[in-house]
Amino acid sequence: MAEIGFDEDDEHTVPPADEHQHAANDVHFAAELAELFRDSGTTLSPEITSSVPNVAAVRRMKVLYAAICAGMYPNVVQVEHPERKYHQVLGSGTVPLPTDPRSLRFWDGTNFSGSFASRTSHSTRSSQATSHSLTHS
Amino acid sequence: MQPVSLHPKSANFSIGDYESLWLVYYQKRKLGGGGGGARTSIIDCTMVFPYALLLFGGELTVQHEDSTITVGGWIRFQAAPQIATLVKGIRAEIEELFATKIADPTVSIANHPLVLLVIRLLQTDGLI
Repeated sequence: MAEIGFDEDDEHTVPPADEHQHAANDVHFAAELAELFRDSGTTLSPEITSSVPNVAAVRRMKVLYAAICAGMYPNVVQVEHPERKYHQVLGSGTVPLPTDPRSLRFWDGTNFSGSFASRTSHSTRSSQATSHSLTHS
Repeated sequence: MQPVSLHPKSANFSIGDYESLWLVYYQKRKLGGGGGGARTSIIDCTMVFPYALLLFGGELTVQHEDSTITVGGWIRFQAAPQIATLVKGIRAEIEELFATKIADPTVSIANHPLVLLVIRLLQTDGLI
């Protein structure tokens, strides 16, 4: 895994198999990717869904999500939460209530033609929802 | 933009709080029969983070007046214009590196500084 830049504390390092040692680098790279995808189906998921997620596992998953994103684009949907989370967080340090999944709205921009006219009907709402700060995790 | 819903069988159907506001999907279907009752459903979706969209999405445009970057004409992020400049630079470098790799597949790019940088950006979502 170190080959493709994952954390050095990764305990799932794959020893290179003999048949890969003298193979072309792209074949080696594909083998590493295959190992990553195997991991994501077995080792990674339980770590991520456990109450104490493994930081290294989450980081590896983010690379996998990015690969999926690159493949699926432009099939993108925006999630609109009914109320911004920080309304509850900034108040008096109270714990934010979990959002009811049924209260979420999803917006598909795939058919967006590039003309801004088509989204003026809900421009107020989307301008709030789309302003997702990059500096705010 | 058109409203869609998640398919009830989707693993994300019961999720209420998404860490990121963006999902990508593979299949979209109209369910619920004729009349006005048909709803468009996303069959399978994956939550993705801003830097994945910035690096691997569509064309980047910068709106200086409200400090936002737009991907593909509608995916908007609140960010300084410098972020767009940085991402455009990285995209150009990636294309160059991939061209090198395609021209000669035996070249190893796994430990190339650019690849390590991109992985780090994706893992930390820019909070390096």
